[in-house]
This record gives sequence, structure tokens and C-alpha cells, in this order.
Amino acid sequence: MNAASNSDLELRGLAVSLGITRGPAYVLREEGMHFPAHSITPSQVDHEIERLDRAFEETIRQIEQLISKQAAGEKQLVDEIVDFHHMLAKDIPRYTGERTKKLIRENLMYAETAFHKTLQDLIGVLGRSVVSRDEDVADIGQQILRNLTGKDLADFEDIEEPVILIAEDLSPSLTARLPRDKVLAFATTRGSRTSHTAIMARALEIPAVVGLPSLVDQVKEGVHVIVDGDRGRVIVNPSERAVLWYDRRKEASEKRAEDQLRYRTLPGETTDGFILELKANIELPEEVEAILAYGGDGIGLYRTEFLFMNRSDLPTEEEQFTAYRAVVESMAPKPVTIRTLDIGGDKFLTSFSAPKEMNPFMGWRAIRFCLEQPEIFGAQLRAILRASHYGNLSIMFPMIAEVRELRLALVALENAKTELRERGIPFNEEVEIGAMIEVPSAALVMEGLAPLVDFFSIGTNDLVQYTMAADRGNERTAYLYDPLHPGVLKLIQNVVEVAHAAGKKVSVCGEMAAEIEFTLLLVGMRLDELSMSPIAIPAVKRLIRSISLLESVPIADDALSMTEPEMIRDYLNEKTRHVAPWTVELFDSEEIPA
Amino acid sequence: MEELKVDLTVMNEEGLHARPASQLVQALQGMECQVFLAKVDDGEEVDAKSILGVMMLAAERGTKMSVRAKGKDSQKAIEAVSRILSEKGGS
Repeated sequence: MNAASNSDLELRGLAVSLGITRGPAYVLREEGMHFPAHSITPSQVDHEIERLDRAFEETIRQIEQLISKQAAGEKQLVDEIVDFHHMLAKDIPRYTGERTKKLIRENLMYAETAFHKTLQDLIGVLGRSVVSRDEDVADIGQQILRNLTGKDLADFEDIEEPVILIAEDLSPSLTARLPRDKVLAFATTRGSRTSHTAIMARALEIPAVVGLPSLVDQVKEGVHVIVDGDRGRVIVNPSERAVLWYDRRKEASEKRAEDQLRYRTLPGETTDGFILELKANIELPEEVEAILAYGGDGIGLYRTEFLFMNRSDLPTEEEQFTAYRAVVESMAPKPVTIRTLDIGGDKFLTSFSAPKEMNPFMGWRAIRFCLEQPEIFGAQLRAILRASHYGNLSIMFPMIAEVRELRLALVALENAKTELRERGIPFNEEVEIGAMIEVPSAALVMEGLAPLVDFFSIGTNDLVQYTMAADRGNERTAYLYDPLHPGVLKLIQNVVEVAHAAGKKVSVCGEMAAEIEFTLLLVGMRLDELSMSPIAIPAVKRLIRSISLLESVPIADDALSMTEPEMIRDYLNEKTRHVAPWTVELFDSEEIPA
Repeated sequence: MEELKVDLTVMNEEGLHARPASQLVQALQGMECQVFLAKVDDGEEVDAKSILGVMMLAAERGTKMSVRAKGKDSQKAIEAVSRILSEKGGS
């Protein structure tokens, strides 16, 4: 075997569904479709119309076959999607059939070219409606197009033993066709925590890693692959040593997950009675269930961008209110902190044409954008305020860099309150306000910020990136991106000290909060609250419950006196292992032993 | 022929989105009647047995809707629509 040279190729992506598994790769490649632009001859018209009707019928038939293949007791979510697709497959021809045929007859278009156009029109109409799921319409439309162009969707008939599904991305109709007993895990090139692939993997309770750029090129059909959904790794062609190591990890991970569920109903309390609130970061209302399942104390960061993305218009105040209220009500009486729009940087609204910037992360984003867009900001603030009437809600402003910005944001909030009072709409007059500390300058002007708000939340991902002037997504500069850099820690320390002197609470809501290697330090630095991905809560809680504030404070002090991140890391790992021996396996297993 | 008409308010948490819309269409499938839905404010009717029709309504929570059913099963249809529109639970 000459594969040995290629053994243990490790790809790093985003872990979106927990668990570890391994198996042979089943690689799906996207096939481009072609829509001829030239005209057909009049004698071809009947043939094209017949092709269109056949494609419509074929699509319905394919979905019906899928329904008949489904075993009883399958996951309800999956069943519902298939039924929904069945209805769409029958309905799309009703809405597009006549117009498509007219284009074939009168404009002498090819069936696929004509249908592609009417489908786009239909999606355009649905895109304007706020409650539609045009993703599914586009998906079934694609399936019809595939039937027209002869590009088959994978039918997975050839899967014999269970596989790891490798793809660019997984569409709803593709996942609906999966033989679920034969898929062990997903790994995809594209995707985020909220993409369909991620949601589906969590619903099916299989591991998934997304955001692996070179994946489809690097993985050959049938090659053995390990998917580590705990850490976001994919190991291609693993060595025997790696397989053994991951099998042990898998066993330990499953046992740990089981053990930690015991902590679900217990508070994040140190052995000497100091309580840290352990909350969750979420993007979708659907994630609320997971928070309760993992024993979270509330939502420390509700990202609102999702409501604004992937659509051609802006969400109305009413629509936002409905979404925020649903989350607040389903968490009540537990607290929910909603962050106002943090758009810009790497994500911008499709509904808003923003100028192209040379340096987007240093540019017009978050509060900088909102303060200049009073209509968008005002509608969101009113929607959040209205939701405050229905539960325990607080608001926080992202990316504050200076005192003046925070003052302007508070003025916008006052204006929103005034408007609601005039409209006679109820909201919580005492709603708590927070500022996010992500820009180093803000961490250094805490004396000016602290009197203006009720709490602070440190967004460590951005704080680290801005303090170190290093993008962690850039392989060449990633070495600089380290939350344990003393420069970062001193900023955090200053935020906590000044905020506490003013009687204000401080939380950490970046990824730093989710890593148990930092927990001891954060407890010792006197953070009041940690907010993280729901799945990370049990391990952090377990660790907090095995340490005391009394021992953590001097450890944090020692760490803060050190000058290099590696010294701090080694010191913290050693101390953590000492106070909580069960964490040993977590630290030691970071890399496959040589 | 029997024709019934009632006004209802959408109570579903996230409005008449994919899940309640497909429940609605499914519930009406096979009933012997025509069913039309419209927003009270705008009046344009859609076929309640068509998933795309219902989705195009884009009815948010709190929207006032008028339901019109015509045919043998009108009563049953109106009952099904009002049951589904009044379900609070979203997805």
C-alpha cells in the first residue's frame, strides 16, 4: 500500500453535531446543470412539453417511492419534510406548468431553460413572504430540473455497509432520501451551525463536521474516514494507531456524555458555594430544547443575524417580535439576553447593498452599522422591547468601541421606548442593558462605560482577534490567536475589576467560555457568568462543581503574572488536572500520540 | 350547495409557516369541498388545498384570515382550518 504516505490526514472544520464515528467514505459530487440558451425549432415544441410533463411526474414518483420506503417510527422531523416535499412536487407544476409551456411554445425555449425561469420567478414571489421556506421550493425545483436534464440525484442504492457521507453540502431533499440506518456521519465542505446539514445531523443524532474547504478533493470514495463531531476533525485514511486512539476517545466521550447528564439540574456552583450562571449561545429558536436538555441557566447570547440572512427583504418589527417572544416565552422564567444586529465583517445582508470594504472586520459592522441605520435599528429595538413583556429579557449592544457609541445606542433605545409608549404597547420599563466588550479600546475605557449599563459581556472571539491583530482563519497568523495571551487576559481582568467596582456583572460569551482548559482561570478571575454552545455546558459545569473559588483566585493571579501564553497554558492544565483528575483524558487526548 | 365563511386569527407561534401550512393542506386533502383562504385586510383568495398557495399568503401570527368553504364537507373543512390555525405551538 502506498497510501501510508497519506495516512492520518487531518482536516479541521466546525463541529455541529456531537459524537465520534468511523467508516468508509461515500462521496457526493455536485453536477453542474446546463440550460441551453438557443431556440428550439417549432417542430420540437411538443417534444419539450412532453419532457417537462415527464419530469414533473417523475419527481412526484421519486418522492412517493421514498415515502413507501420509510419504515414506521422514523424520526418525525424527517417524515414531515418528505410529506412537505410531496405536496410541493404536486403543487409546483400547478403554479409553473402553464407559464413554462407558454415559454416553450411562444419563445421556443428548451424545457429546462423555460422551467428554470419560471422556478426563479416562483421563488422570487415566495422570497417576499416572511413565513415561507423557499429553500425547499428551490430544492424540489432542482430535482425537477435534474429529471429534465438527466442528472440523477444520488439514490444511495449502492450503499451496502454504513458510510460516512462526504459532500459539498446536503440539501433537504437529499437528506430525506438517505437510508438512515446506513449513514454514520456527515462531513461537508460548506455549512454552518444553522445550515440544513447541521440541523439534520442533530435531529438524527449522528456526528457532523462542516466547513471543510478541501474535503471533497481530499477524500476518495471508499477510503476509511474518522469523523470527530466533538472537536470538528475529519481524519482521512487513519493509521491503526489513530483508529485505536479514536475508538478509545469515542468510548470515553460517550461515557462522559452520559455521566454529565447527572449535572443537568444542578447549578454551576463551586465547592465553596460561589455560583456561576452557565448559559447558552444560540442562533435559532429551535435550539431552546437543547439548552434545557443540557441544563443551561438561560440564554447569554441570542444572535439575531439569522433572522436577517438569506432573504431579499428585511424582517419587519412584527416578525422579529414574534421570533424573540417565542424564545423568551419558551425559556421563561430563565433569562434571555438578545444581542442587537451584528452584521458586517464576514456576513452582510442580501437585502442591503453595502459598500465593498478593504478591511471588513475593521469596517462598518454591528453597532457602527446600526447607529447609521436608525430604521433597521429602531425596528429591532422595538421588537426586542415588546418581547421583554413576555419573560426575562435583556438587551446587549455588540462591538462598542467608545463611550460615545454606547450613549448613542442608549438614545436609540430611549427613542424606541418612547415610540412604544405612544403606541400604548407594553414592555418591561426596567429591561436590563449590556454592552459587549470585543474591542480592546472598550476594555480600557470601562470607567466611562460602567455607569451607563447594567452588565457586560466579553466576546472573546473578537476581543482576541482585535487585540492580537490576527485572523484565526488565516493559517499563517493563527498561531497568534490565543485567548491565553497575557495582553488579552489583562483586558479581561480590567473589565471585571472596573465593572465589579461599579456593581455590574460580567460574562464571557466567546468560545473561551466553552473550553474546560480555561474554566479554572475564568472562575479565578471572578467572571459571573459563562455563555457557550449548549453541548459544552455539562463539562464546564462539572468542572466548576469540583473546584473552589478560594483555590481558583490565587491560580488566576499566578497565571496573570506570567508573560507567555504557553507558560500559562501548561500551568492551567496542570492545576486543572490536579483539582479535577477526570479532565486528564481530555487534555492528554488532544493529539494522537506519536 | 352549502357555503360557509368564517373569520379566524392565526395563532401559530411563527405564523402559517411550512409545518402548519402542510398540516393544513394535508387535513383538507380528500374532503369534498373547495376551501379558500384570504387575509381579511387584503382579500385575495388562495386555494387552501395548495401548499404553495398557503405559503404565498405569508400569514404571520395575529393575522386575521377569512376562510370560505364550498361543498359537502364544508363544516368539516372549517373545523379543521380553525383547529390548525389556533394551534399555538410552532416548530
